[in-house]
Amino acid sequence: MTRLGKQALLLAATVGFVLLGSSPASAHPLGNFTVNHYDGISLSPDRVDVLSIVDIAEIPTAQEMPRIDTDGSGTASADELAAYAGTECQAVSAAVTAAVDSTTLNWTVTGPTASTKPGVAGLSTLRLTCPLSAPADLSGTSTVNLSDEYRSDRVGWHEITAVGDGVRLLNPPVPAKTVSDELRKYPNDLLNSPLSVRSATLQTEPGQGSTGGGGDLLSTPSADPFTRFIASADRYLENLIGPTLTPLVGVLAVLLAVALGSGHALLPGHGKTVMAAYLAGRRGSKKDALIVGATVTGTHTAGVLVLGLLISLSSAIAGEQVLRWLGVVSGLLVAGIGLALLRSALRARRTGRLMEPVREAALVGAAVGHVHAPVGDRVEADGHPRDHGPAYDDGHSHDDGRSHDDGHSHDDGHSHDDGHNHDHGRDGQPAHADHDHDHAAQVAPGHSHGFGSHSHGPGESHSHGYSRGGLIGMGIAGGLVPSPSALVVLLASIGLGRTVFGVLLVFAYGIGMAGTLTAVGLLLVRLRTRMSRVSVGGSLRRSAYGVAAVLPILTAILVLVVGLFLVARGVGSTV
Amino acid sequence: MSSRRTTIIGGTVGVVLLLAVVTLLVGVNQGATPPAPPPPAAQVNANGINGRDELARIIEQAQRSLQDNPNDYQKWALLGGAYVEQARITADPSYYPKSEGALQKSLDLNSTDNDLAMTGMGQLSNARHEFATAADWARKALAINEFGSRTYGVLADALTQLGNYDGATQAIQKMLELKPGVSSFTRASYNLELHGNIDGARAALEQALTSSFSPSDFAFCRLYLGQLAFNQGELDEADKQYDAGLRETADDPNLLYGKAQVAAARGEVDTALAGYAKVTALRPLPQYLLEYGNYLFSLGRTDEAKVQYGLFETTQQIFKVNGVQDNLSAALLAADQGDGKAAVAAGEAEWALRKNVDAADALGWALHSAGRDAEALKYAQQATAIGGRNALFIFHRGMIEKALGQQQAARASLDAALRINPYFSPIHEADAKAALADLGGPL
Repeated sequence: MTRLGKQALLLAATVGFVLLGSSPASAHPLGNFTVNHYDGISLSPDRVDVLSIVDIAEIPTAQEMPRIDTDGSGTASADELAAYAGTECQAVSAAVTAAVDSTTLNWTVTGPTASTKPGVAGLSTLRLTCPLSAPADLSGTSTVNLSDEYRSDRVGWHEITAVGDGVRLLNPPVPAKTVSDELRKYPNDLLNSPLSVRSATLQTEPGQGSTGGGGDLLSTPSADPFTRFIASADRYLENLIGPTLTPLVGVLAVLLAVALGSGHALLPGHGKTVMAAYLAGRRGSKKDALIVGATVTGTHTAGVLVLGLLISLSSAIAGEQVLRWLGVVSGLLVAGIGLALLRSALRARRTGRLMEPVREAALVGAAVGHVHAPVGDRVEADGHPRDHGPAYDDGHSHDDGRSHDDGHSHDDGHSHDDGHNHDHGRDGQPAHADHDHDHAAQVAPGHSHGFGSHSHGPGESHSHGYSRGGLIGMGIAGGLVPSPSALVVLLASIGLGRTVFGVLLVFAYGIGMAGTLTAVGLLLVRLRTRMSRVSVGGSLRRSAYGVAAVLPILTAILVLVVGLFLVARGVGSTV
Repeated sequence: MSSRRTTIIGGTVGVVLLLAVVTLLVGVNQGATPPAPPPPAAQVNANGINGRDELARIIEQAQRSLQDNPNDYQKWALLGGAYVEQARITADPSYYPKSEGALQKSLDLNSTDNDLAMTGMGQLSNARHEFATAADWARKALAINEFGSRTYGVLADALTQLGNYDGATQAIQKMLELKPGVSSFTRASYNLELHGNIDGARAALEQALTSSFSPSDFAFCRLYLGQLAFNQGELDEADKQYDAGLRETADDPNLLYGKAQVAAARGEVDTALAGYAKVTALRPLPQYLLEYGNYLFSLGRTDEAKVQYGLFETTQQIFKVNGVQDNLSAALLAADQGDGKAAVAAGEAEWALRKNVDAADALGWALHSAGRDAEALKYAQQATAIGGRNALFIFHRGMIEKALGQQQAARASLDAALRINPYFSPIHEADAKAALADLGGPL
């Protein structure tokens, strides 16, 4: 029968289709030879229950029939089905393995049932229901592992859900509700592949409900009106760059991008608050505020462009993952700055130069009292020599390596072939490829003073507020996590073949963000200047010294804590 | 003091930025790892065959990207094509309707110069055995973009099935020029094999192998190399290739099927039976069920054979209900079982759909079983005309020639069939030898 050989192979999938085809409604929705699994886990303090259901389509049912129809009558009687359910649920209970911590559970099957349902062409489909139960100790904090290996090599839908009763699930990886109504209705969303969840690890503690959890539908954070407004404006911008782009619409889109950028800068996150506090507290000048703003714009624009390029070039990149990790990096940067601040604050305290460290006082400190004359406005830069390249980039130019030429598709499938995406991606590249960022290492050495205080001689009235390194570090931290909406706008533009326009929009975005941040910074600088003009009485002044001595340390700790929080949040969401 | 601080700061910044770069690299290289909770809307990737396979990642990435930007017609087209491919690799047919939906969406967004989606439609039509439609889509796409190598692949497949071998050869030649790679080399190999150039076919597959880089590509090339060897009766070589393929993708049903065929040819009955049982459990596709039935039949286990033939009939019922024409296997089975009338009906239906060597052979063999040997010979000659070294086709021709009393021709044909591959069919091997002996033995 070799004649069937090559031709059959070439068209192997064909037959698969043919079996499902543009089939009438009665046919099995997932193909006539699928075996589909569902495990509904339910955890109680003293036991684990699993409702294990197997939905078997027409052809495998026909294959099972000789085992079910033991009297050879051609149909499956109620008794035969019951007997089959008893036997087969034993096989299911052996194949569904579960353990609480390291104790393997021993299932008891109670009330197994099997039923047939009419399928296509006068054939039957089979539904096997196996309620499994096992005693378990979930009264404390536990880890539950479950894995379903029942006929796991068959093509089909694999779904697991989990709920707790008197047991709280911590961040469960599977949802609480079945999306297929326990294998009765299979969702057929164009953008979702058939579900293939074959195992689950659940962390539990006593209590009710569940916390977090990626398995549930998108948990929309309780959005305040401002956030919602920004979100709807985002969508509006996406629609603007749609199929018809007139010059007017183009200008509108750019303006909207600027507005959105400044709006996003006001939303929480990105350590922007810390930056503002830092800027204000550490006697920043207007120029400093501008530097931070420029760094944010630069970092953000370049970051979005690089990430957007990578995503459109390589299918290997998962956008959210990169964003999360960038969040971690941003947090680390903030924490690092906090650490440096703390270190210098402590050192300053040790050396007892109370007068001097005051310039490190945080916002509050500034408000409380100012010892030294020089105020922000008069402070001038001391001609910092070097420029500090935001070194966010480099390092990711390796994308082309994976060049998807048609290597992996015998039969075409994935088409990275005709190169549409790639080409557009490359158009975008020059936009940032010519940024020649200096390296990180070069940032620091040029500066004679770091983030921290300046241990110059007592009373030596120093004019520059603080180090550019710290400023730029803050700027990078603020701009490093690309705003997802800017990214989406860029990708949408690339998709529509308007790469240059997309780059322009991203740049406008960055300008908007920087504008807001700079404005906040300048406002704080101004505010502090006002405060310092208020004359302060002698005794208050003395106590102010006391406060001022501690404040730098508190500020530093605050910055450090926020940084660590950002790291923890980023790491937490990636695990 | 100052320089020390500088060092500390420099160090801190350096470490942080290094971390940034490393993190990015890790993020980029690992894609969706570390194992995240299922992304809310995208759910989880599907299909075990190769969880980390490139194709699955392409699909996930496109799904995600389209959730954010549903107006990207190129992504929709890409996704639609990837779904067809995924259906082929995983044999999970639920990807076909998805594919059609995605491609239609792409065409709705851009129906004028969207060669990507048109190519995808062609690919899908081929998978649905709508070969003429597939060729139309491919030609439409080529009118927009004459450099689409994938499009030439779709056209080549359609023309091969329609029996337009010259057109297919041209399309493959074009594809090879535009993009030498696994897709074009494997198609070239099949084309060469059809024309009887076995060495060329093997060389093309070796080339395909060297340009493979994903496990499923390797396995695919190994499968073809194994099949090519088996068709020439080289059992050891075939077995070696199948094993090499299984090292890439364990439990691939196509490869397991090949192993079972080899075991059957070697007379390793238990291994062969276990192999067929496993393959038909994994993928109860008609051609596997029929082959399993034939093997059981050749062993004299007719009751068990009937079960498999029954399951084959079941799949045929589903074909009919779904309005799909695929009568090739049915024609052969009916002819083998001596039901000439049913065989001719099925064979003619198939011939109406496509006029390639397979359909010609099936119709010829069907007519023979109905005793219409004079007509049968015409088709049998057509099936072997382009020079393919297909032992089964040549055996069919020999039997028809013998029935027509063309002793010398029959003897030559049967001798050739058994020389090419003495294991060409479990049910016909003995017939072929007996008929040849009857005619005076090997030449």
